[in-house]
Amino acid sequence: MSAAPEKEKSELLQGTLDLLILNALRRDSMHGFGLSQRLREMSRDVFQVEMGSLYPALCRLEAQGAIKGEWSVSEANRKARYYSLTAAGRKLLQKEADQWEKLSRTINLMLKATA
Amino acid sequence: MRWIRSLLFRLQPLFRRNKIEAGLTDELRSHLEFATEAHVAAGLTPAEARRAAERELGGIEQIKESWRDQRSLPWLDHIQQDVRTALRSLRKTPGFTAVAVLSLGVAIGVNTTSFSLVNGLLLRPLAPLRPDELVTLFVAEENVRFRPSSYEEYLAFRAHRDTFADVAATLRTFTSVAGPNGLQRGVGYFTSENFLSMLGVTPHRGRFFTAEECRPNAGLNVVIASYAFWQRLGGRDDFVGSTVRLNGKPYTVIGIAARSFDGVNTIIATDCWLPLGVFSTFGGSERGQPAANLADSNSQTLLLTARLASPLTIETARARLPALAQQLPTAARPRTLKITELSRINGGSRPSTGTDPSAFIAGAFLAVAAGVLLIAGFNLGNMLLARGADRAKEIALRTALGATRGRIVRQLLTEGFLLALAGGVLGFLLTLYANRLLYNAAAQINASYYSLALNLSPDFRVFAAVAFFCLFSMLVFSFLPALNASRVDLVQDLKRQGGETTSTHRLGRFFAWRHVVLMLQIGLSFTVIFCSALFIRGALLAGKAPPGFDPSSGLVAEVDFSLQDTPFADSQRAIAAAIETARAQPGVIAAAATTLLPYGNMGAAKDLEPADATARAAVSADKIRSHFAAVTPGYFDALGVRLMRGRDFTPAETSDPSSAYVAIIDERLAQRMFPNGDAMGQRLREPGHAQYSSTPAADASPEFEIVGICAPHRHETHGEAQTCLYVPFAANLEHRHGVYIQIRTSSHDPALVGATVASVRSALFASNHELPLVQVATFAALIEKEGTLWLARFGAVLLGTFGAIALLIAVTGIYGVKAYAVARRTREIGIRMALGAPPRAAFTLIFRQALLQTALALAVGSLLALAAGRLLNSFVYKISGTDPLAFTAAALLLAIAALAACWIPAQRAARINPIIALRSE
Repeated sequence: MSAAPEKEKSELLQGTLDLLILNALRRDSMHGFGLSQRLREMSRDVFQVEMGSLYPALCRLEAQGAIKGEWSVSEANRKARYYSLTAAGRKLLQKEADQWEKLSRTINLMLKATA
Repeated sequence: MRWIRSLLFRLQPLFRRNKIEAGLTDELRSHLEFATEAHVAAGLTPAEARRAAERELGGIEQIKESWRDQRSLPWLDHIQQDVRTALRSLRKTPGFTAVAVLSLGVAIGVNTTSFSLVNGLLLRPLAPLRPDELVTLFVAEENVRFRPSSYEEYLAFRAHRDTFADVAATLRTFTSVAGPNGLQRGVGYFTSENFLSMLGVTPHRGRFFTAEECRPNAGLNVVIASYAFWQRLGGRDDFVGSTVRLNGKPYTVIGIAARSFDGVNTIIATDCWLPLGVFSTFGGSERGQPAANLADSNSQTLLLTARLASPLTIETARARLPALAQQLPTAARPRTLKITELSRINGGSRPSTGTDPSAFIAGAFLAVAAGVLLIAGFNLGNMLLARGADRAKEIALRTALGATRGRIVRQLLTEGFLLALAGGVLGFLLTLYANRLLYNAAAQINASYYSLALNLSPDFRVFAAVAFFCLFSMLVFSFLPALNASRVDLVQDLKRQGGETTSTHRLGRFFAWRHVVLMLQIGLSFTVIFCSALFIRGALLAGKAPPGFDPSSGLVAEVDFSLQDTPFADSQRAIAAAIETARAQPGVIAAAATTLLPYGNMGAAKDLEPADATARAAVSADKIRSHFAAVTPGYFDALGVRLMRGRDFTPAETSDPSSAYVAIIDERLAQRMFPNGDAMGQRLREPGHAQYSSTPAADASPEFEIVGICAPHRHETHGEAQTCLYVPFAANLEHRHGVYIQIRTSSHDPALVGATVASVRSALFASNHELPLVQVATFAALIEKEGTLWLARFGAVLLGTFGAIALLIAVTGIYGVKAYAVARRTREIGIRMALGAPPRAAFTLIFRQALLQTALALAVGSLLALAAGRLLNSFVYKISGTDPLAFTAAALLLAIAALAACWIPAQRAARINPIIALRSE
């Protein structure tokens, strides 16, 4: 999984991509391109998600049953594969978000403690 | 359950990969369109927008690749790919593949065949049920004199349930049934009722013995047949319940043993089992006279097999034996007990000492075969090395395109694995064929006595061995190429043009990997060829010793009265009548009977000394062991040996057992017994005769008066010619085994002599249909079956095959490496020639290197060869294990073959055209 090599852009932490995808799909179903745009917007252009990571990640999540992909037609009358969160995906999102929360809080604490 | 779904999901691309990939491609395409649209909206031209979108996306193929890695099981996928690529690349070089698979297959075949032999002789379990618990129980008096046990002792052992879970008594006997060409001899065992069930054998049909049938002197005539025996007798469905005549008496078949079991001896098959209850009434006098009574505690005849009580091992059980010996009944003399693992070959009452020679021979074959496998492995390693060097560019290219080093090595290993696999399959098929040849060759040698039990059919151990040989050879041959492949120099290899990567330093080139391997190969080949040369020389010598007579016109008819209950006088008359019948046949010149067949596998010998004290003093050895045969008048004529002095036996001496002891000796014995005087009229006797005698009828120390001296002749292939003492036929009361009627015909033509066999057989049967005729065969055919000769020839054929294979593989290896070296140095040689070197110099360049390498390899190999020869010392026939002739012959053969193999590449080097060589870059 090759993360973005550009200097300015932070590398995505391994495993956080899944969480971000699940989060982005929380309300609406989206196709791959839309998802990539959304992720960039949400990070205020800090994260550039590599397509080479995004699509395999989508496949992986689909394999786990967290999301579901369906071909349908966009507003602009274009065929695209739309991904939506399943019930299992919601649970997974909740779990991962909690874990992340705990992890980041802990790391912040430790960083302050050493500082 | 989630992992199952995940696994299924991961597996599905293997089967529906194209469909899924097509879906992914569609999705990525739609992504591109969205992205292009977005860029256009941001103000780019459609073309620019498209390019920007593509740039952002990265390659569709790369995304698919990372999808593949994630979504499928990559290793399974890779294996599939590797196998496909390897098959493709092997198919592209059919010559290489064929040579590799063939040489590997032959080497693995040779090894598996040798292993099958070791397996059949040493490894196969002897009994179906927990064979580790089974032991053979030996009884010795005064610690040294081993003897069979009495029935009483057997019962005592059987009562010791805390040491032996069970004890069974057996006794071997010769049996015979009527066959199409006379009596068929076989081997049977008297057993106690528990023998077969103790071993875990089950009946194929019918039942096994009851305790009542096995009670001493029960006299219930029943028999259990082995599966093979049943098949030989026709395999009828109503066999159980029918009657067979064994040694002339009727026995009811009550059962057939399971197919897989034909006795505990790995060489001699058991045809049938008889209850101990018929021991004293069983036909034939083979066991000696008078028939022993089992109930008598002085009758010590039984051999014991036992199953140890549950927690005991052989070692722990041994500790209990001394106490057990104390508790045995009627101990006239102190007894010692000994247990060993169940005897595989030894069927006697004395435990074997040391390694069994057949096991050693089988092991030696396996060792030599392993040498052949090593040679083949080295050879293939070299071929792969050369191939790898040729493929360096391809490999560098693949590395540049992103293949990891591990992936490349895996690819090479896959090729090696496929070669090994194909070689293993071929080797296994060859083994099946070779095993059949081996079995048939070994089965005919003593076919008139017993059928061969040796089981060479593949079992799981043989399969495991094949797998091991494949793996072993793969390790040997892929080690170097893998080593090489792991130091790929990308830039160098990509730049390379038809390659001169060999070290330019002369010594470095001389000891380049492939040359070291080549020298190893030559050295090992030398060892193998030397071993086979030893055996071949032995076999050639084996046939050389002149027998002292011409067997080509001879026929032999064997009758065996020990298989019948015929009174002695009647058997004498029957033999005399049979001789007359044979003599009357057209084409027959002479016929006479003997108890000792020259070059037969059975012998009888006696120690002899002059009866006269002064003559005795002149003999250097205190006693001389000599063949002992009883013959009818005219024997020497029938055999074709000249009676040099004196007279033949008279008919009166032959027919009358009480007649004076007279003897005819051969000239060699005459010289050894009476070096200073005339042997005629002297007397010979057995030293301390009374001690050895088992014939109470004979007087205390019979002295044989010498009435004739015959020309020296041989009775055996092996060793120095033995001396022989002949007595009149009737005088030999002890020997009642096979009697051989020597028949001489007027022809020397093998076909004509062979044709007489059938007519003599039918005439003998016609004149006396009760005659226990075992076989009629040409004398020459019987001599071929002489044990030592057969073994010498067998070893020569087997090791000769090994040697030939080693030579062939070595030659192809040398040729391959040298041809390759010339190809790689084409440019260098071209430059040398352009600078004025004559073609001869190019030839010398290549040839001198080969010469030196061969010489060095032979020097190192000779050390190994001599070491191997020393090990084989006692098993090669007649010559020492370091025989200089075999050594020189092997060295010369290999050197000539090696240099011949280099000749062609060296010639090619000499013919290099410098202009073409330099332009070809």
